[in-house]
Amino acid sequence: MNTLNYIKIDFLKNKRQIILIPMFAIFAVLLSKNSNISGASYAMFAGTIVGINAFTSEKIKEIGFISMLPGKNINKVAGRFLYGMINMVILEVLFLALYCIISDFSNTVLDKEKIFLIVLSTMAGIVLISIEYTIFYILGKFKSQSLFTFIMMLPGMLLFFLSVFFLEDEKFLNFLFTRSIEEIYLLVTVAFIIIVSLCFTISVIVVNKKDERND
Amino acid sequence: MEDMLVVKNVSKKLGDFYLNDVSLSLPKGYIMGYIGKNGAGKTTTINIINHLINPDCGSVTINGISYKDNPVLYKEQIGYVGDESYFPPEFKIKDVKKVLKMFYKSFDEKKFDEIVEREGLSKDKKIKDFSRGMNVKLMFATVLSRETKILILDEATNGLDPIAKDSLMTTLQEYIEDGEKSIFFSTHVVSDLEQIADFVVMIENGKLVINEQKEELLENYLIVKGNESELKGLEGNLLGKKSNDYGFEAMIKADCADEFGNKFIFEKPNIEQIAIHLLRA
Repeated sequence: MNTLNYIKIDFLKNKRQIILIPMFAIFAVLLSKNSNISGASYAMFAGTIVGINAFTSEKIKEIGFISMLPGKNINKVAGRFLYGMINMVILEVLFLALYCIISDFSNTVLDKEKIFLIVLSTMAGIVLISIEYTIFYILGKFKSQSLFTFIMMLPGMLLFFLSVFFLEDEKFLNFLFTRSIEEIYLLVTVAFIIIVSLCFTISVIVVNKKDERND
Repeated sequence: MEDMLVVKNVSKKLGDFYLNDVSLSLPKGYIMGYIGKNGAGKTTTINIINHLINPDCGSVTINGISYKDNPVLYKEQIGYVGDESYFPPEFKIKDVKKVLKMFYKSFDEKKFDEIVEREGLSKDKKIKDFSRGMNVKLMFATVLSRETKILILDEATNGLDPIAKDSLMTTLQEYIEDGEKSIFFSTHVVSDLEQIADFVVMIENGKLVINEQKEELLENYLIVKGNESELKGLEGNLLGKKSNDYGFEAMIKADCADEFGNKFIFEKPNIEQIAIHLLRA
């Protein structure tokens, strides 16, 4: 129950999301042209920006209120992770809905493969958010603007370098093309669960060990 | 007397600062004043009690419960008021109320609204637009409108006008009336404690230098004034001596008074004078 309460606090603190999310979804659709994969990637990138607001909007002095609320650290971290995931899912679903409407007009078929790519994009976004959140928890409150900027750019950089690395790797490409969509789904889902669980576990350990205030 | 707050052998290293083996206990139904200069370790001690920082060693229990035993109940029992607003700046009062309703089963919405109304706090303004005094009043509204076992006040009276401060002192006395709750009051405005504190603890450079009941503390010391020339051999008994053109003023332990004889003037000190002389010593 407290996990849900922590999610609510993050939404209460970041009310501007109500405007940002639809705005980003519309941009993603406008930028997607005929390819939903690029649109889904833009939506994913927007999801990471919206998701990290939870950390960037935190002020050090809020610790006296938020951290004094009677809740366990595991609930606090779970609430934060779920907040990021919910934002990501909402963005991608909104993008998909808008894309479907536009596809209808342009008679583009939304097939199983396109939906799979959007689901993949959502999962990739959640993985990126989870990694970013873990980094935020480890580094603590930001004193350095340049460090903060680096963390903001991390998802884009990671996505770019990873995609270049893997798409140039013949073994990986052979492996991918010889697999069925169901097998790829399974592999991606397993990797998703492992990475997100690991990030969550590390975050909980860090929050339990770290001092909330060191002024 | 059953203890509400027990701090046992707590130490913490923070950069160059070292909170060194702090132990204190506050019985139920009493008020403890925690005094010290800026940077002495008051806020560090409070942060450890609030479990906002982890001690390197030692333990803290509130009403017999440690954070490790039950982190939810531990924090539920605490009503914390800080020296500056701790609410998210973009929140309004209705947002604060929503959060309190979510987390505290004992939150009394009607009482909260009454306090907000009585203190004249604006429901339409964002908290970032509140004055310091309004923020303090809001913090008190949040802790007094739910069930707590201990109020932890960190320089909480700073920024209050004299009337508001006087009203608050009355509220604090009413809070402990049932004998089941306690107040831990950190301040460097020692005069605030003269009225209400039952126990006085003073910290200096991370170490406790006073840890006594207020009445005993006031009985244990005397202010001595007189001519420096009459001191002969008695200088070792003086604490925080201050000299001027007319003579000297210092503090001594009350049981040394006989050694001084009748060549000096003796006065009963207040807590502020005791603190100043000990810090000067």
